[in-house]
Amino acid sequence: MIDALIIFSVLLILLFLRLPVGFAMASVGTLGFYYYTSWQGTLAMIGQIAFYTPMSAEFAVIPLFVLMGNFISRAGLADELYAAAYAWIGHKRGGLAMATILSCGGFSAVCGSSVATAATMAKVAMPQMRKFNYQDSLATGAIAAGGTFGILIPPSVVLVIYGIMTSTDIGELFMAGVVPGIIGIISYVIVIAIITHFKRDIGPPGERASWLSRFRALRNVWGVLLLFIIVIGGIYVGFFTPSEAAGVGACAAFFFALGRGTLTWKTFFELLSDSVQTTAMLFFILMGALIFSNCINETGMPETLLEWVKGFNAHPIAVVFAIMLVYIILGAVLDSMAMLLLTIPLFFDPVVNGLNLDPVWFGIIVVVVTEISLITPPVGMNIFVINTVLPDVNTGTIFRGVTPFWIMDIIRLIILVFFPAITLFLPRMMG
Amino acid sequence: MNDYTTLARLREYFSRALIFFASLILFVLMWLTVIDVFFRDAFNISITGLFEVTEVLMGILVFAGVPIITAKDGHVAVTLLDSFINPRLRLIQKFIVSIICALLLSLFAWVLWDAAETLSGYNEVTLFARIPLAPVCYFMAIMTALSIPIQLSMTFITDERLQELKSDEI
Amino acid sequence: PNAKAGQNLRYATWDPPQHEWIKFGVDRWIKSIGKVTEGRVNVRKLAKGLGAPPAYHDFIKKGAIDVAHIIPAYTPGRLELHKVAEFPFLAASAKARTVAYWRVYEKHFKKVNEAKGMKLLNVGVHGGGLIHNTKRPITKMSDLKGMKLRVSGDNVAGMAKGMGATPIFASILKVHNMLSKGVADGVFLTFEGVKNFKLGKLVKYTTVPPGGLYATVFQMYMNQKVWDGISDKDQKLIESVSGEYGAQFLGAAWELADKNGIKHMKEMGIKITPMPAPFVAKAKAIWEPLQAIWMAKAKEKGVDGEAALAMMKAEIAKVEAGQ
Ligand code: NA
Ligand code: NA
Repeated sequence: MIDALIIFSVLLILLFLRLPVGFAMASVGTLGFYYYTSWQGTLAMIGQIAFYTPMSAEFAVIPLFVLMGNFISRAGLADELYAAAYAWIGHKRGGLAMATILSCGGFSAVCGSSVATAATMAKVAMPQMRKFNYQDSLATGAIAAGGTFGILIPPSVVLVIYGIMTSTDIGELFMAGVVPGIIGIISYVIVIAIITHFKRDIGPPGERASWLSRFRALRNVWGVLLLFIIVIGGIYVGFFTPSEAAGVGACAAFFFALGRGTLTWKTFFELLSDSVQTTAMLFFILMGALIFSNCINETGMPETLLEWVKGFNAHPIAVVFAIMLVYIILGAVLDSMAMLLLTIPLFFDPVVNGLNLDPVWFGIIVVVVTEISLITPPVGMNIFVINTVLPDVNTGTIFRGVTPFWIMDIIRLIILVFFPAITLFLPRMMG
Repeated sequence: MNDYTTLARLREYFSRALIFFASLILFVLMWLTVIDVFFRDAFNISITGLFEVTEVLMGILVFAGVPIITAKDGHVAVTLLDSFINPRLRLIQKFIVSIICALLLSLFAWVLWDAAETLSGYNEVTLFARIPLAPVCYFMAIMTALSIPIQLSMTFITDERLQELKSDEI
Repeated sequence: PNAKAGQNLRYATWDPPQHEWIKFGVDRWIKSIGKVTEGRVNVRKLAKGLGAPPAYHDFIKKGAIDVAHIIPAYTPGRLELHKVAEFPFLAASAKARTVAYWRVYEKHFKKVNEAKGMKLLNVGVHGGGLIHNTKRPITKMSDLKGMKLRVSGDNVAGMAKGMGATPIFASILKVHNMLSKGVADGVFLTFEGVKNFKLGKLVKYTTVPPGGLYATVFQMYMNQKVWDGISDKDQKLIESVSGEYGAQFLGAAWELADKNGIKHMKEMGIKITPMPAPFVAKAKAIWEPLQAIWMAKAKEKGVDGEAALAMMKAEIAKVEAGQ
């Protein structure tokens, strides 16, 4: 146990020295594994991990969903989602921010990444909110928080990785994300209504659209709806497996982008190359995490944790809350993917085998805390990405704006922990 | 001077070729999946071995991406303490990070080469499509090795230029 | 800082801890090592596997792990000889296949030293493979026409193709998903697999070929250097609870797994029927040329394949008769 804590501390130090996440985990994992075994054995272990990790047909789901999200952004579907949400609720106080949340939710239904959702919606929603004199903190806070739905509402790259690492059915995980995602959307809209009720000037109402134009705007979101039905509906009724759905979804999104005349050869290759880079980046972290987890495995910490959880005699919910607390602390300072890959091998066994809790439910809980980590200072990826898209808004303002949403996230997390049925009833109805 | 520009141009050609190649692989991967689903559901034909083609393409895709992300400084890092570090210290930090990354890439290249030798010794192939695995593994090793000089060359690039590289379009 | 050979050895596997083969087989072996060497050699089982199943061959050979089992079928091209224990129509009983295979190994294969750099300690062969499906009872070969069946190895894939079905290769962990989604109509699998991989609600019909349609061999190896570092005395003691002795209880663990599997399948109301004789005859004809391929490969390795197969059959008969 002491060994493992030392190893974790060294890792954290390397991370803060700005060593890339994958490299940090791989180097600590390598040295640690060498300490417990032999140099030759360590080399063999790394070689096999490096060769076999990417050689997985299941993992093809990752580049394909990333590609689908990229094609969708290019096809301009985000603009139409926003326009539709605006037409319906833009005229309310804080309505543009609410529209941002709704369109973030819609975009999340076709994009598997939170950072991509936040980046896309920042470009679409920010100019409108600026036009109506929204305070930057509310505007960017809504985008940052709404963007987190990318990994909860299916498709989700994070759920795919969780599913593969823990052998949990990805289709079931996807279905389990739907209801908590919808609850998230509603809760954020409530947050905006409350804030703008007390601070009336930070989110003035936008233009009122006629009923005719509202329905006309709705007509334009069919693209997103169709894609969601093909991909997630296809998985739900069992028409195809998640990796097949990802391929079909990417292909359909490709034709959308093509049909709208938004693809030139140049942008086409940009989108593909961008997806390749995201994939390589994710896999490097993944390989680092596997090497690191092999080293932690040698320390005996997983067994110790399992014994501890079993012997502790605490109510399972108490253990889950303790784990959530660890996640929120780690999530403050770590990149979300790093946090996820570090902790799943450690916590999954004690929770699922030690306490007999449902792996699908636990996956969703983990994703919700990961969402929280994306908007928790000091390291909140969604905040950073908005800062990149809108360099004139400083990160302090965004963090301030996201705080009420963060508080609502914690409440949502507690509800999901206490009522597993909210998460589980949809996947249970499936197949 | 002339030599330098030739080298720079070569590097430019190489990176374009690699990006083109990796992009193509991804596009093929997408179509393979779609075709597989289509044949299975429309004609009840399952293409034996397609599964393995997908696996091999994934291996190639990921490692073709490694030099590309290295050149673009695309690895995720925790930038928490950046604002507390003065420029001089930042230079030293960057140097250390670059050296560790280069060392680790060398290690990966080495172990992958070793794994490739083993696979080649057994003439190991995939079960159905009979795709030889050693060339795939050699490719991974070479791509990783190519990333080492790229990584080292990143040491002396300013933070501003790094930012540009990240947002650079092809 | 090597865990010095002869003291604490590390064992790791990708197999789930509650599987009978691990719980009543491997775990028992691990415990017996400490007991028989009076604590001079201890095997510690790591909480989790080290990586992808096909990687284990190199993990052991190059010393990333001291002792572990591999499935030779996962690395096609590396090992050939074990396949004699995987042949169809040999034995339904896992124990018979396991014990007979160990005896054949001792007599015919050991001298060839096929897996260099690794010491073979134990073998395990699961019970005869069956045809499970979600669609219809299979009583004649034409019933299989157009069925998409998940297979685990090349021999059984060849059989599936020859019988008119479409083989799909996939990890066993994907089978549940594939069957429930209709991506596959059935699966070549054991009795125990239906229970252990939670397929009981999906499978409707099971056809039982006499002696099984295939089997899968598991081989437990120790890194050669680690083995050489153990004293002669302790090597002998370890061997006394491995090999033939190990085959008895490792085979029995698989046998128990199948027994639990049959019970579960009956509870789930799955219709289990034997494969009718005309069907068997046709299937055997499909097998013949595939068997010849193995004979040629065995010859290349300097092994008399015919003799090995004959011994395999004879030993199976002996084990089934209680010897
Ligand atoms: Na999503
Ligand atoms: Na954070």
